[in-house]
Amino acid sequence: MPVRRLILLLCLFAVGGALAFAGAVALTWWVDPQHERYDPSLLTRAEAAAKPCLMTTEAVGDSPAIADFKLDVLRRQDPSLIVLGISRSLEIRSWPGEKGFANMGTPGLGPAAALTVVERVHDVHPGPVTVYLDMEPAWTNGRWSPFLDFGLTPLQRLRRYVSSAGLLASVRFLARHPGADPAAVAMSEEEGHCVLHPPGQSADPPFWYSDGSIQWAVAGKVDAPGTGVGVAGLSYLDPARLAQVERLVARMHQLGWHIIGFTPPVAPWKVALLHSRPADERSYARFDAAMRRLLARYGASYVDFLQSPQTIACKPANFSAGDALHPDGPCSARLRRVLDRMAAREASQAS
Amino acid sequence: MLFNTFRFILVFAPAFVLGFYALRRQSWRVAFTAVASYAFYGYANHLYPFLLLTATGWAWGAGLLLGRVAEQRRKAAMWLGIAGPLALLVAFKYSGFLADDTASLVETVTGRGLPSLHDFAHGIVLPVGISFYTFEAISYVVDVYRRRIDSERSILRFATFMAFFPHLIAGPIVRYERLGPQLRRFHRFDSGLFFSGVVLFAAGLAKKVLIADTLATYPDTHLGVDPASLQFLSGWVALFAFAGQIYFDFAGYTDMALGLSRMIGIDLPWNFDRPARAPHPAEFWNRWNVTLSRWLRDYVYVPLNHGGGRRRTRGRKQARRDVTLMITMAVAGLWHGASLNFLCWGVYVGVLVVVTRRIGAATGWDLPHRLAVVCTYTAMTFGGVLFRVHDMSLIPGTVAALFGLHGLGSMPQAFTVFLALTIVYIATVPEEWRWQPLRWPAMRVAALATGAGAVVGIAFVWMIAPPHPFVYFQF
Repeated sequence: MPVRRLILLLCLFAVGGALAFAGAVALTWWVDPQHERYDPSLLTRAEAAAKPCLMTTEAVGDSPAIADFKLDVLRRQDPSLIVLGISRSLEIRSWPGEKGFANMGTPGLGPAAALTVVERVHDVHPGPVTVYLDMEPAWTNGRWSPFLDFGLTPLQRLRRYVSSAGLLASVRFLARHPGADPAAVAMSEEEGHCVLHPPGQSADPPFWYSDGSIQWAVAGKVDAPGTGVGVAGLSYLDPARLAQVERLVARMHQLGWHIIGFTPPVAPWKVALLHSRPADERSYARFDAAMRRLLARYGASYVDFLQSPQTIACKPANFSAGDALHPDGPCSARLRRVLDRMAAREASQAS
Repeated sequence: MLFNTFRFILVFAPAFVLGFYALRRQSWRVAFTAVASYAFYGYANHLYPFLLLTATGWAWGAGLLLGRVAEQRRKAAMWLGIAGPLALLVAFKYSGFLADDTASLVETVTGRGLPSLHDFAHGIVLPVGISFYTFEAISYVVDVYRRRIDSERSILRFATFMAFFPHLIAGPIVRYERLGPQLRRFHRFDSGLFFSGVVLFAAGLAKKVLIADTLATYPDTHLGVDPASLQFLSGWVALFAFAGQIYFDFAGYTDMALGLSRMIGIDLPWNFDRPARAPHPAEFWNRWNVTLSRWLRDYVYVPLNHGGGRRRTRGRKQARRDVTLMITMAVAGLWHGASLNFLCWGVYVGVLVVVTRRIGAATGWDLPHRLAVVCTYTAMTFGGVLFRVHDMSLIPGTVAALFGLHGLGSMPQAFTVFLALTIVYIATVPEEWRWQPLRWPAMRVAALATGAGAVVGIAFVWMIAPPHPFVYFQF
């Protein structure tokens, strides 16, 4: 075979490979069967609706999409008050009619990724910011793996979007719904709210709000008591993780932010369980003391709602997300009222 | 390093091929191939090349010794040459098995545990490819002893023969008489051979990544786990899926190895000769891992079966042949893995071969060809229980499920359709190494090139997830 013919065949080989790969990537990107991609028009539509419009988690998307959604919330809200933490503080919302508030927390957010969020907030809103910082026992546990990253590179994104499972699911979607628009979003009415969700999928919670907060479950459900204390990382105060938390607090302090640290409550029966187990209780006390010391070093105050849930009167019925660890909207509103009062008091003292 | 990784396909293989053809002297090419092969092997663990080097040096030295010692000492020299590589194999592959079983036996008899022996057994890491290059070293020493080949004087050429990376990790088990002469000859670039190598590599990659790894998902969750959850239909689907997985895994690796070698003008022996179309268990085994079965025939079966004089009756000869065959198959089982389940698998295949031969000889029955193929494939697939379920205590439960004692159950629809398609592929498509694209019309060759590229492109999507190692790497 002449070499020229071989070169031609190798070119065909390369073109065939490139087209197949690019086609698979494009198809997976377009269908997005694993809800990895966030579409900013969703939030535009939610904000443009006559009534407050909520978005299902399927409509917003999974982990990388949540990060993009949060950054979109940040750009739109230009917040001077943010909440930063994991899923347990995600039901802290803006008051009706309030502007300049954003809940920048995400499920699985670690202290290192939280630092990226701080930088992004500073980029958008260079002025002073008040932050309600959710000090989580999980953050100091070296064995807990944060699963959300705000700083994905294009290659990391590609690796997340493109997979055999994604491609097969895309093909299945097109086979089952020929001619359907995979990015379409339907609007329906649920308990006085409008809800945006993918057509053909249920409009059930969790729902995202346009301020970045979430509603985990429908009201009226109560988490059943279990046997685990369940606050990840009670037994660990990992030095590397503690250093990450300190870097986060130090950076916010350096930016001149007003920091108020807090630990969200858990269901009362979990608190009783914690106090009935000396080892867990001692671990938690160590964590609590470490957080107080850390925040005090940067002139920040700290309130531990987990140790004293009665201060905001959160009852078992206020924990309905399934694990008695996630305070609901009303409990989170009471929690926010306490934090707002502290922030106002400290601001007036400072002035 | 795995063939099915971006690092190998996009960096190592192109760099090796370009480097190979950039060198204009055969001795440089041989040295370059040796260095590349050791780098390839050392990538997984930097200690592995030292083991390979030890086996290589020992066998090469034994070869030289065989050329110099007196006739009456040649046999001793041969055994000395075999002992070195075999000792490495025993130390790294079988000592753990022996220690673990000894500890368990002592525990059962005396009621006292031997935790340090268990720890020793579990602390041994099996170097990948050791079974393959040990057999190559042994065959070289024996062939020199039998005067089938002359001993190799160049350590570099011999090291390249032993370490040549396409066959290093999972075969084929190459004889020196096959590869040695090719390492002496300067290969001028042959674009036709190169193209067929590229197509063969692409076909192998697709078999491994798109078919074998997809088939693996079902047996991975159904075989070797709690057999109580396994039922008739799910059990058989899992078993046929495992048979398909290992079929495409090994066929894929073999195609990739042969394809890579063809790109630099080296013709390795085929190792996978459409085994699923064999009408007898013996033929199935001979076609499955062609070079291994031939190795066992030449270096285990024939020497064991040899002798006994002419006075043996026909019946005694047959009995001796059957016993020899059972021993050979037991060795084959243990070669695959140092555990009881592999030994039982070898014995199972041996029994199948002996029984079908005996019945055929005694009755003269011959099943219709297609029925014989189906029966053989099913019987060999059934033996997959022993191959796949490493915990012997789970095997009775798994077999009970396959006989329907746990109920009929259900099977996954989409997966079963995919499985059925792979079985149709096995039954109908000729092995790619037999294709001769240069004889095809130009348009068909162009379509082949584009199609091969397309399957590689799709395989790349699958490869974004962490790679599955080849099944035969564990042997």
